[in-house]
Amino acid sequence: MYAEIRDKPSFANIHVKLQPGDQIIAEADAMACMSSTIEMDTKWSGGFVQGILKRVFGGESMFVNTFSTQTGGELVLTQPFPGDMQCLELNGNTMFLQPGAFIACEPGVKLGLGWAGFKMFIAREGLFRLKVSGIGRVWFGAYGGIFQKEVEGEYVVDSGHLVAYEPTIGIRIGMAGGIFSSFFSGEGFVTRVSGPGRIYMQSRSFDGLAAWTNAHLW
Amino acid sequence: MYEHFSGGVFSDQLDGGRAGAEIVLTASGVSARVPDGQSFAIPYRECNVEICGYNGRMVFCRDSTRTVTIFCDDRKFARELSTASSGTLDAQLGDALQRVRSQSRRGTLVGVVSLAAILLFIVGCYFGVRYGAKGAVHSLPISVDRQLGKTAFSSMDLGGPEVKDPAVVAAIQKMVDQLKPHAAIDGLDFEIHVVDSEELNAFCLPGGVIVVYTGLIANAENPDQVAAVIGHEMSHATLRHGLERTSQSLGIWAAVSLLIGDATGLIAGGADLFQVAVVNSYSRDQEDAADKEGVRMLHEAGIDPASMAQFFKIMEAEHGDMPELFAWISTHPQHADRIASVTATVDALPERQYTPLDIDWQEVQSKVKDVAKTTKGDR
Amino acid sequence: MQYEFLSRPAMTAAKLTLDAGESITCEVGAMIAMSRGFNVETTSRNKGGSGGIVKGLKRMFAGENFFLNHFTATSPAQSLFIGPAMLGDIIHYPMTGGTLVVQGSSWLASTSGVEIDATFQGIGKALFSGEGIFWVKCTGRGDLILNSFGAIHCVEVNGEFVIDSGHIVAFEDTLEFRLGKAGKSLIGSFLGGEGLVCKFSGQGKLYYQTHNPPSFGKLLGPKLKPR
Repeated sequence: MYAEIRDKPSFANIHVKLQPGDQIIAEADAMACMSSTIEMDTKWSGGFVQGILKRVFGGESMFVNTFSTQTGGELVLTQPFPGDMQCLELNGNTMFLQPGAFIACEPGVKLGLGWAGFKMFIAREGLFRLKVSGIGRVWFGAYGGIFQKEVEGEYVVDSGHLVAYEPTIGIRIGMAGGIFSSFFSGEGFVTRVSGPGRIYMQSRSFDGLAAWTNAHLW
Repeated sequence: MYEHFSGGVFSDQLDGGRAGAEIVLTASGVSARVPDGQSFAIPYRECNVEICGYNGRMVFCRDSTRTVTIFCDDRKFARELSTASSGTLDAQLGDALQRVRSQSRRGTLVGVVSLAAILLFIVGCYFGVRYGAKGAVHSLPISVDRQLGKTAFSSMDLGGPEVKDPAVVAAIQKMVDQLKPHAAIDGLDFEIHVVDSEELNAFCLPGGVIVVYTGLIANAENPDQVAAVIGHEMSHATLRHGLERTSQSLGIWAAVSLLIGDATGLIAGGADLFQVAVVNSYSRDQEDAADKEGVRMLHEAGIDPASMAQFFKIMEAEHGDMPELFAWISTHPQHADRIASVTATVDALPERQYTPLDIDWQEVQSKVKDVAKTTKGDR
Repeated sequence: MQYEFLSRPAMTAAKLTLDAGESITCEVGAMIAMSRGFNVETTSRNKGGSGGIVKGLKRMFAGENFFLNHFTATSPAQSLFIGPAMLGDIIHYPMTGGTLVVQGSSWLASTSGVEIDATFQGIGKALFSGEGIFWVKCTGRGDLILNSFGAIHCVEVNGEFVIDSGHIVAFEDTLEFRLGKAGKSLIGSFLGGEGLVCKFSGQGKLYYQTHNPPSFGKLLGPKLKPR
């Protein structure tokens, strides 16, 4: 199955070419256009209850669409906001994704919803997180550009900017500086991550856009 | 015989540098097998153990060259590792666990302290704003008061039809005109509205919109008493209590939104808050100040300030007969103390001749009764 | 007229170079910068006089502005920079006598030989495709400049092609389209989030954008203050 991320980093979208026997699973609503020879099958995402939980807490839709073809065809998958996408190759390992970041995956990948804890909630990463595991490729995206870092030791990420991270990453919430500078620097809380492991960060935050727009609305 | 655990491996030999793995604790070391068949092993004697990860419980085993790391976050793993390595790794495990525990203890401490600091900050802001707001308010131009008052008035349900009878309105106008020159500030145009209702109430909105209910007129013995009430209410406007009140409540949520960042929901609630603050809940201090200021205005206008205490006494006496909300009293509690306090203020005034108001009070009261009858008839 | 596109693909602006006497009609508000040798006329009419209030209203329904700006160069080699409001890309389409149907807000500018008319899509189709009742029909000869939200790609349709309606930018009118279900069953379509899609058949070019404004708006909207 050929899949390529085009138009990075502002309007990333996945251009997929399916052969008979290939399958790709994507978030509902991710399809922009496709050949008429592609069939789309809708299923609950991991079962009824899981589906609902993922919608309410995981920022993902309840349903996933499985695309397959009898004779071969093309398909374009996208995300609702402008931004970048990344492809992850899973080899039995696990990755945690921010709610709403998941776009598509190959059939060998399992999607699960996990409780992220209040720590992550304060870090503006949401109460829940998506756990992807198994073998195969996973595509995820974010508003803004995505860049990755292999962390060994400690690293600081602004709250709300962590898109994906490995379970081996330790996470602590801290202040940006002293109490005064934390509140007045506009940074407030930050997330201190410690390795070993890989993290993916986004260069813009959707909350940042909403706040800026709000400020200009009156 | 050996238990299998699910975990992962970091190694440069792997595509992508990492993979999920099935971990087995053998007699000699930790061994891991990845999906594509590759195997990795770290003998116990070369093992460096650390505990961290996203839940603070992941056990990492690194080999001495730090090129291979095998990790697992299964609950039983640490214990099994200890047994399988026949105690050789216990010292490392112990240290690692200690570090994790002390870190989490420190984390909780920091969390509690930050929370306490934030709460302190909020409370401090509240009090700071309450007292700071007072000073800030008085530097605002009077046009702000007028706008606030007009907006509040236009959205209010007065509770009865407006009385346009010239005799009644003229009487109230006379009282206002006599008091106005002695107001604490200039620039307020007092707009009078008489409303037909049994409510024993009168109020003045910021900027000078005065509403007097006919219930008040009907129950006052003489016009001086009504003038005393009007003087008190006008003081709320001239001392700009409404603005103080709203700026205090607004100030609090301004502080809150500074902290939380987004207070959209509060903006909607703020509209209601605003009306309540302006009309009903002048604070005790403000009531006290209005009493004293009212007495001063009456005194300087030549109207007998003792009528204020007299009217309070009427209110107190008639209190029990009022079936509805004892309007004026309920928003002005502790009348016994007030009577005493007002009387004391009056006694402290220098001697002066007072002239009763030149108003045909009988006519006014009978007109008011007529209006009430017609309104009752309409109902 | 010469054209050049700058800052692709997210913040694209078009630099148009016109010779004396040449003119171009642009969306109101599209002008970013221009040299001094231009005559600007704001009117609801198409260049050449046809149009008027009714056409202006039709344009409004299509998501375009009631008014149009006509820029006429009065000296040689005048340059005009134009760009749309939202981030996205711009493309050029040469009109050679055929017809191009353009999605409401994607029309940016066209030269005087191109006739633009908002066309009625048909209520049935409109209600379900969520696209708005009117599309802009472009005919004639000249240059057509289109904008998008997202990157623009072109598909040479030969047979059938399925596209989510929010992603359509423009298509040649040799293509026919029907509204259809995306999945195998009707339920799948509504729940699958794809809802109803446009199925194009025939032969012709179809331009699509990789992102769609309604989805973005649905995400951002709830986070904004109530007005």
